[in-house]
Amino acid sequence: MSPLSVELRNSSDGLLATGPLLPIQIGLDETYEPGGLWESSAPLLSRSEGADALIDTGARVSCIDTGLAERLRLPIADEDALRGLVGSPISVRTRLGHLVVTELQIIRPLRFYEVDLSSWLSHEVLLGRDMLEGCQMHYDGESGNVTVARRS
Amino acid sequence: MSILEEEIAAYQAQQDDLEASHRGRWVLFHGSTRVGIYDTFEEVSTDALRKYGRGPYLIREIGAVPAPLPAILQRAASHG
Repeated sequence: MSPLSVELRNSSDGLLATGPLLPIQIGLDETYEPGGLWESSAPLLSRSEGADALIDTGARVSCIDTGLAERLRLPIADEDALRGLVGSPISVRTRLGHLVVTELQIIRPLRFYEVDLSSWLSHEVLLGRDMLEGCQMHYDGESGNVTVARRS
Repeated sequence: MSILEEEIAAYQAQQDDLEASHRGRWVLFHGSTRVGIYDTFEEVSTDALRKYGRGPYLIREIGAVPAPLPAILQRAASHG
């Protein structure tokens, strides 16, 4: 198996300021089949949108902005709780969507917690460690480059 | 009123039994019907989409404790 990788180039100051931003697409592929070939499944996203997603290795879960989730009409799959600062649960919806990272030939269903991200961040998607499952990530704070790789 | 009120009520009615025998797996409810138990989120989400399209339906990891809100959003929540 050959490795696939995407290099996220930045300056060291830029990386410090913004964090690693991964170009992705989000949408819904109603014909998705687990273990399907990338070539046959990648173009099937309907109503997808591109975004620069902030990779947050400190986060266990991934989040999507309410506005983006509504525009894409992603299915509401639960009304779940996240644990807040003092341990009290915060009720949030979860949405089902498919995440595509073209350079890594990744298409996978992902559970997104719906949060009003755009009020607080300049990004509509925050990717947690659930997205990085099966990937390697190299963070070079000296050069400002971040590499994300996985085996094809 | 929750869009998933019926599904969540059905889950809660079966919660003890589900957690006793299927903790860590995934369950799909459509209305008050328990559609199935699955090993992975990929499996449950694929079946939900195939059967019910954009829903509504409930997909839940059985017995999961709430995940922490990402730290970057903690400040937002505390001001929200």
